[in-house]
Amino acid sequence: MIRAAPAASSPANAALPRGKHQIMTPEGVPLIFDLADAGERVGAFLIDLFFIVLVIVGVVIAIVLAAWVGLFATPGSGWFIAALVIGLFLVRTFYFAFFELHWRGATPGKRAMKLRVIDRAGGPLGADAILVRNLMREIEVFLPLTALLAGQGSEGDEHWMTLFILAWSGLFTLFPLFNRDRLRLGDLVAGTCVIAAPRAMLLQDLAARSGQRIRGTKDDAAAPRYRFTHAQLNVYGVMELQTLEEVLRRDDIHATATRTEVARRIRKRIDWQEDTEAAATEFDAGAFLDAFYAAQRGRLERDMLFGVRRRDKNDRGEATPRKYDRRKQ
Amino acid sequence: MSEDTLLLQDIVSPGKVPDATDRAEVKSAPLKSAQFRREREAGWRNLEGLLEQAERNGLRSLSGDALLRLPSLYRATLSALSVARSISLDRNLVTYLETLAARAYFHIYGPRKALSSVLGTFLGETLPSAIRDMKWPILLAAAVLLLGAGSGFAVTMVNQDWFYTLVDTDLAAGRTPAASTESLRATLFDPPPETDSLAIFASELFTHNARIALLCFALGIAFGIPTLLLLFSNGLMLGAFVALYASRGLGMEMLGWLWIHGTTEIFAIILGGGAGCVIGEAALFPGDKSRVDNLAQRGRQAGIIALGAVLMLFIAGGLEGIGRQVINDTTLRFAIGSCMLLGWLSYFSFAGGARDAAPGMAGMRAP
Repeated sequence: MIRAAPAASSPANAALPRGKHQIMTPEGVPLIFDLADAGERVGAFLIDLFFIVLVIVGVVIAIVLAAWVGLFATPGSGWFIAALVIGLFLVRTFYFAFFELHWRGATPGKRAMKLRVIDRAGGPLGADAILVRNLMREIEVFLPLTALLAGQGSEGDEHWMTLFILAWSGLFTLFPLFNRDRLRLGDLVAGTCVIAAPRAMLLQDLAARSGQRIRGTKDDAAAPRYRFTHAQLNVYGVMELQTLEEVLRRDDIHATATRTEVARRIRKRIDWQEDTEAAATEFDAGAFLDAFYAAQRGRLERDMLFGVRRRDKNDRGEATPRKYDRRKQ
Repeated sequence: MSEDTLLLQDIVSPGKVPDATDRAEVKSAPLKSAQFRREREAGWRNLEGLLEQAERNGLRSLSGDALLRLPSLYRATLSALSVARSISLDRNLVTYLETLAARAYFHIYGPRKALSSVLGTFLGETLPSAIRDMKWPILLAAAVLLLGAGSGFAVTMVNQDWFYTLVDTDLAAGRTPAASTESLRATLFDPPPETDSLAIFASELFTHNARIALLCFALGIAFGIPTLLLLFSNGLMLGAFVALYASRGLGMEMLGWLWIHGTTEIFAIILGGGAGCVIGEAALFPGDKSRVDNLAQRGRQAGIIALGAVLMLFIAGGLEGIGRQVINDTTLRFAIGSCMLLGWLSYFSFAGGARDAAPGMAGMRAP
């Protein structure tokens, strides 16, 4: 059993944007996840609920069929029904825990919605955590369901609590909407959270692509066709660079038109002139953007190595104002 | 601020480059980040391939060699991610590494134990030591239940009309002060029906009681208050029933009827309630940790106890549904119930004691 206290993860998360969760891996490198949103989690739960109901309905049909065939006249059938009653209880109570334990934090529903349970602090996901987060469903799901279905406390022993329970259970069920890590009560008590299982493809390096293009042309020994001055590379920051990356990676039907428009705006903004009239007529927006992207990225990455990260075009290095104040005096 | 940093700042700060270099063209040099990527991409692709296989067919489908490579590839990717974050502005690359490291992380730090080994350590060590750790909340739950039972007993003895207030009519099923002593006696000593239907009865008792225990546990999140109320109200009913039978001179018979399964069943409900109290206490008094972290740690321990309670109730269901119906002798009922109680107490006190001296149970405070 894991006794180690989950590391306090909240301070590290304070600076994160909404809907992200950061864990510290045991190796000391933080990983940032997208939290699963409410819709995905409801969807996953409904899929799982569907499977549970499917099992229950299947068993009930089996019993009815067996009774119809006359199976229950034979001795020993009582044990069979008892086993079914217990089996149904086990399915209902341990369905989620079983799959999360076996499929590394995912039930069939979560798998379909591409969600996963992780330890909130970044440690290994323990069997005890999985168990606890799912036993808490008793009050989040099954209690309100029973209270709704059973109506006026036909269960008997909690008659006077029915109203109280209904009011509370609404609060329990909606709990994930009221905290930043979107924790269910079960997640809260088990120290887990549900994230969107990440998946991304490694695409071509755009900077390398522009290099290939240059080499592919006839004048590859010469300088690249599109060159930029320091002043021209001082206009934009990281945000614009990554927006440009997005534009360059697009390949829908409007992509070419978008690139032409973006190239026009960049040319205007950085005041870029063709060397000759002839060159201006055969201006290639794609090649221009590729070259500009490579040059701009080279510039910003070099700055980064020196400890300056220019967030966007409006970031004039005010992050370190004291130095500039001293220079002005 | 040293002059050195000031100089660096002059060179690299955007918009502060002197005019002479401003108009000079930037020489195109290969990007460090592109080179970095070229050198390591093969390793990332390798890891990606392994992960795809593991995600599709499970970790066991990987060869021994691949399994050995997985952790080192994971660590290499993680360190690449760390570097890429500080040297690369290629968002696709950073996102890719981020997701690749995360996918590998799931496999390296996901739950890996087989269910059977989890169950083995659970019964042998985890459960009894968790219960020893949590003895004060459990004793509190027991005290509240007994307090309820005592109050229920006392008020019903004084005035039998209280029975109707305390016990739901459905649950009483005719066992009310209006019933004759003979019919009450008959409810204690049913003629044994066929064992078949007894099994169904037992399984229904089990699922019903297990739900109550889980409810006791889960409701603890509301600072333990609903848990304690549930325990108290169940105690009230228990007391009222005992008082009803005691007033007809059936006190001992009633206790025997209760004792045979009650030592297991009520014990289990108390454990469920104790687990609820643990959660409630963790939420109310976080101590020197944050409330959320404290809840996470104590909640896991409490869940272990709740699961233990469900297992006990399975046994209690058998004792109540079958044993009590078949055995109609009060002395024998007492004997079996007492044996069970002794068994549970010694199991929880002594099982898995070897590791009990480990730190971690210190600092336990009574709620």
